[in-house]
Amino acid sequence: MKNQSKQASRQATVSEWVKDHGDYLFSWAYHKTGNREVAEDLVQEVFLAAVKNFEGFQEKSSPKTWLLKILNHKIIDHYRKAAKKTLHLDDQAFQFTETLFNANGNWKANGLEEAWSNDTHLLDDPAFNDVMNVCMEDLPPRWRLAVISKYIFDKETLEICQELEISKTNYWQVLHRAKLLLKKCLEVNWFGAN
Amino acid sequence: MNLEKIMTIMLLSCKEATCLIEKKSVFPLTFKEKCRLYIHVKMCVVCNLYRHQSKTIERALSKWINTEGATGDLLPPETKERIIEKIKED
Repeated sequence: MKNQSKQASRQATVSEWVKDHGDYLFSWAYHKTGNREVAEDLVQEVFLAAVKNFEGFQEKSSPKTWLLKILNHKIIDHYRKAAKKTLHLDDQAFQFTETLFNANGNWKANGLEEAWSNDTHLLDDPAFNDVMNVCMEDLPPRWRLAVISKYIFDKETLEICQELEISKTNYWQVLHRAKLLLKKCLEVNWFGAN
Repeated sequence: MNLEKIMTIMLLSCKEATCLIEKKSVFPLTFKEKCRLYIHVKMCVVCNLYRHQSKTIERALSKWINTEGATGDLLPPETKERIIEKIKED
């Protein structure tokens, strides 16, 4: 009987959270996945996980912070699943980055080299973030996972290599190619366009 | 053999140099790699710029992840209802 009422009160608390934080979590997930349906599903998973793991919530952190932490784990999981399904995209992207160099492996000039020097206020421009959305979407999922794990979640090299099932050598090559692709995408959609 | 080819063999190609720039952020470079990269970047304007661009991209990435979506992107009310129903079923 006691357990039942405990469960009911958890459910009531988390239901309140859906009303209070649902929009925030959804907009966060949508921004990171670029897909409404996926974002809705992830948000639902977050709230169900919150009921299940309610003990993990400590009053000292705010519900919003705690829910966001769960959501970020779910987002990484989503990237991980996508990465497994789309290995063929790595090859295509690799071939594309090859075209940035000539036969000797040196840069083909594109005339946009200098455009980057005015990037001081770049990050303050809200429109720049839209371009980043496009460029992140363009990365093959496995490369995106590598980049996000390293630069955003600050994960250790070993952990990322295990997760991506690649060697260390392969890992920095992936980072390199992902950066080349982002660079090219930003040049086409931002520096070249402005 | 043209000059570019000789330089490439002695002092890395741009492809190799930029790869080493990224390697450096996850793994220590060997002494030989350090020397070759140092000289390459001294001589190659585009790779020198790449070093800077690479950092800019990293800053852009962390800015991107910490940005909320547009405030207009709301979770549809019917989805909220559905989630609340699911919570009760659990």
